Amino acid sequence: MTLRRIWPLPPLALLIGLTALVASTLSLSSERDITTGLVQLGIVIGLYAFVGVSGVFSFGHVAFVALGAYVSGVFAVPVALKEVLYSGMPEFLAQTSVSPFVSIVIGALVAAAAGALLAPAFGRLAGLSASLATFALLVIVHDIARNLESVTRGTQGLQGVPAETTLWIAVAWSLVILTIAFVFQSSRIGLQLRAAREDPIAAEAMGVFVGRLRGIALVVSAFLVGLSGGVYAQLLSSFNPNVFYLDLTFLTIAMLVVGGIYSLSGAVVGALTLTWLAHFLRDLEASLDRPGLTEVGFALLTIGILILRPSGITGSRELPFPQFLGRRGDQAKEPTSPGGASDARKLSSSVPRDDAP
Amino acid sequence: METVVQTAVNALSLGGLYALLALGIALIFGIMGLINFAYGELMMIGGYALVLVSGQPLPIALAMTAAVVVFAALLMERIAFRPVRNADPTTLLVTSFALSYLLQHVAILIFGSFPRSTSVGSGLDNAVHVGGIAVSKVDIAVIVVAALLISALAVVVGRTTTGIRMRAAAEDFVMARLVGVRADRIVAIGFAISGLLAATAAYFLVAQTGSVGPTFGVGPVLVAFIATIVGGLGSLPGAVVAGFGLGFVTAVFQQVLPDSLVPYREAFVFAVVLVTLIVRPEGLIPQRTRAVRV
Amino acid sequence: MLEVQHLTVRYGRVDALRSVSLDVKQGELVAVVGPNGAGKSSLLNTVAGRTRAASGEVKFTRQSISTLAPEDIVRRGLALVPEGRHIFHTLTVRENLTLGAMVTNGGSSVERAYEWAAERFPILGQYLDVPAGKLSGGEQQQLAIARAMVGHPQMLMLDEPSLGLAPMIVDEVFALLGELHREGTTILLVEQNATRALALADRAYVLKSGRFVFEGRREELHQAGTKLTSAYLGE
Repeated sequence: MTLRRIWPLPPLALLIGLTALVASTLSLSSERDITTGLVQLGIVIGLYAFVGVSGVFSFGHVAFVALGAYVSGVFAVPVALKEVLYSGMPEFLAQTSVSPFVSIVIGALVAAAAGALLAPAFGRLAGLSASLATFALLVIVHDIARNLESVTRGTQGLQGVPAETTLWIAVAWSLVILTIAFVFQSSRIGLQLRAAREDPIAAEAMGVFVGRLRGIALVVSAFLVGLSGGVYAQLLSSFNPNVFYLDLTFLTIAMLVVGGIYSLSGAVVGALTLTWLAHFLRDLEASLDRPGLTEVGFALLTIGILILRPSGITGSRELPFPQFLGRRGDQAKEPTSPGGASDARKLSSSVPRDDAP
Repeated sequence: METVVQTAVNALSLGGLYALLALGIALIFGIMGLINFAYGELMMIGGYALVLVSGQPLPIALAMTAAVVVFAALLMERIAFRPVRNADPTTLLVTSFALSYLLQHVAILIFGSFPRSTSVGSGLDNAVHVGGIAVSKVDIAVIVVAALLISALAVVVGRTTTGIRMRAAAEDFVMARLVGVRADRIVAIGFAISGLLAATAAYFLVAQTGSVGPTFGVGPVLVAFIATIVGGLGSLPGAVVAGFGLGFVTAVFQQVLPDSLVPYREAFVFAVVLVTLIVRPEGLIPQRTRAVRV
Repeated sequence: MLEVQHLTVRYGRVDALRSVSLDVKQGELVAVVGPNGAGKSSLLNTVAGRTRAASGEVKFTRQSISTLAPEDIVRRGLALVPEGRHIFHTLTVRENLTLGAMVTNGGSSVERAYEWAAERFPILGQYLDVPAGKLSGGEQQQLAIARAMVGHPQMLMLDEPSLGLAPMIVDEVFALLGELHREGTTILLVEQNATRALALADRAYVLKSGRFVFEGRREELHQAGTKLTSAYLGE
């Protein structure tokens, strides 16, 4: 297994490790902020696994995060607590409690199953329609979480989830998610999807085939963000449906966009950048006594990036393989395109809209 | 009998509202290939405007609100969307989402995150008795206004020279410019009309719910999206048909679902939508537009 | 009437046109021929304002139009009939013509536009209220030209008008172009079908790989023979 084959995993893992190292030297609340950011990094990577690979944008990934969080949360709350906190919970759930690790996996599997259920419908929709449908999914899941009180405790929220997620646990999970995403994007399916994304005409020629591939990407993505959901639940220990709604959706999207939508490096770079930025902005917000400034700031930043540099910090390319480590840099990850891709206006390297030479 | 009539009126009124919402989205998408998430925030702006001018006599309040929303729409186009006009669909989509989020949080900064209640439109609160059956005034008003606006729009789009320009731009924006259609002007007109529709929908929603908050537009914009997809992206007739269809399905579910399941009404509607899309992914009345391909 | 000076057009890292210059005088029919990918469409598209040149200048009636938007260029009297016709399929023939006529900003001219079109193109006159997408390829080409003409342009540019049309239809189209030329319309014609284009042209340019390899009057065209062949078939 040469270094080039697993590139850019090493530098990305290094970035994550460094972030955690720095965080561990800071105050407890700062460390917690960064830990939260690392969990969100997992979500962003999972988002990339669908959006960056298939080219179809999603606003619904947080629905799968919510699924992962609630399912794993319900399974992780100790039985004794459940008797106290929950009335009317189905017998099977009330009597069952598993180890935190197992609950996370269960949550992810349920999220993946939901993805599999929806994949046939979403796969057949035109890209834009599919994106809008994912938004509908987000709202529906939010609605269900608010109303299914016997299981989720509705707007009061879930409580009593073991608080297992420390800084280094979050690091471990994010590395796992990173690796799975990397394997997926390098797999045959992943490569086919990315090729289809870069050349929509070829994609249309592949027809139904692409729909099925997208469905697979959706399931993988749902699994990954579902894992993150479980980890998130064990970070917060108690949460309500609003934690997994518009704010988290926007934050994770902003992280991916700022970093670079179409590369794994973009997901990591964007998430880490915004996590640190948020850390500083929140201090500013507190000193200015203007709550909500961070959100406005991030929104402006995202819009700015979209207007000025839509391909994000990484230019939607992977971190480059350094020259000194090998004879040639790794060119394999560069997006191929028909007439060249240096136009900063374009997020992807697809054919220019208006005309051709 | 009474329930049937009431459900029918409910369905028509809901359908009319949904149709207006869907048209606002479909219009902009047709011309620019842009799905405007921030359309919900145009409604939110309309809602807050109504709260702020609620002291005025109704016609003045309505006119001022409409003016504010149309102005906001034009501003939105000029500042946020024109710079990315030629970008790919994903950039457009995410830009509008970011804008929507921005506006919601600016509203929180200005107005706080708790909804404001208002008595605008409370004159429509009572019911009218037709043939012995109680029908809500708001419903009647929505049906009438929706019918008027939809007809007016149909005339403008189908019969006027501006409408010809809009349809040409929707089919082939570049070619339309090559025959002299002014890009900036036609996009601005589209946004202005979209703003007018948003203001109208906002008024009725405020009348029905009695309050305005930063997330005022999130639910309605979602409905608009669904109706637009089901109708066929960019298709104006499709948006209207799908809007009414969604209203009908929602009203029926409201009536027919057992009490314990009523809160899940939206989920049921969504399920129906999903099935419809699996059967007919291109939408009910697909239109030839340029941006929708893969 | 039209002056193109040292125009360079790039798409990403590919040079479509390298510092080309041409001019079209009033009343002339100038042909630009060359193989596929030579840059012919880029030339017309840049002149019409669809794309921006990397460097160089375009002047129409002595005024620079290099930075103008397409809708402003056509209003100055320079109309483009693009490759593939691009009539509006969902609009009726009448509505397509209306758009073309509105370029001159006259209400009454719209009515006269229909009359002129119906007289000149009897087929179109019959199908005025038919959606343009239902017309045949040749009829659509007529519509595209008619639409450009009813705006009373000072100059007409056509990009591959013969593309995708049956030979008999191509005859009709070129006959039409010849008529317009005789009536005094200035025309810039870009064509792959060199024989036809050269038969009509007062002057011609041969474009290959973004550069003009030949330029000359009709009388000099027989010299173009070898240059043309090598341009199309490669050195």
